[in-house]
Amino acid sequence: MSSQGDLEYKKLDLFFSEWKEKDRKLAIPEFEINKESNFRIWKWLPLGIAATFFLALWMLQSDEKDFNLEKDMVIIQLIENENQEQLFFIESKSSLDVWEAPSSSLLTEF
Amino acid sequence: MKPNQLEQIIKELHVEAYIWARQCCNFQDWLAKDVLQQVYLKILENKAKFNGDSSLKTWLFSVIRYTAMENIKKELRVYPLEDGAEVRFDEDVKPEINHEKLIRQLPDKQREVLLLVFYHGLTLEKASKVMGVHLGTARTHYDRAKKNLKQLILKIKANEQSG
Repeated sequence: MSSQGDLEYKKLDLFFSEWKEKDRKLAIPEFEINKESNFRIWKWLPLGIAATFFLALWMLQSDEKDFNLEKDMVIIQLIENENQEQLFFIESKSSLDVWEAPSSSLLTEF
Repeated sequence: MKPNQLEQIIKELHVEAYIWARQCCNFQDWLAKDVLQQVYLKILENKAKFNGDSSLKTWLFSVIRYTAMENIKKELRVYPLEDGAEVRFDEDVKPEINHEKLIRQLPDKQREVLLLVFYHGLTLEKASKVMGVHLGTARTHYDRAKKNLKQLILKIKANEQSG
């Protein structure tokens, strides 16, 4: 290599050495291999299905109306058990679940 | 080579790989990060296989270059300078040397060969493999690049002295 070529090489080498020195300050990202990056959308799929299921369940349940009563109510029930014995069940409630029949009641009709 | 062994070597080359990815992505950090992640994924999923024909660094650098080119073509629509294109000498080059700005004034192939040889310390033969060109072609780019970069540096020096 000629002395002119040597000088040229040294100049360029100096240019790149300065540049490398400057690049030491570069913010290098952490080394990480994101193995799941292609499947990111699939990860959310089961969660989405579960959320839809719970939402549907909640919407169905919210149809049942629960009324608060002005006074506590005592409910006495006479129930026959498997031995054909009749038993009284007494309970006190402050709220009452109301179930409305789709057709009119026989009591109100007749 | 075992996957764990490969991962370890790639980890060792990570800093150099990132800098090369950044240089291939017109010095855009966000794109370089994205490209490098794509490269690692390609390797992990065996889409890019190391067959031992070259050194691992040469192979990794060529995968990075190829992936960066794919991304640039797809997303940024940057049109590279043609091979025989004239080098544009910016009139507004500031006296302080901005290495990135300066090197960007060279045509793509000339820029690549200089970076690979001078910055990353590859031989001209290895650089030609990374670039996917014959050794003779790489040498032509190398000679032209040296001449053009020297001219650019001299221009800055002249600006420094006059300013």
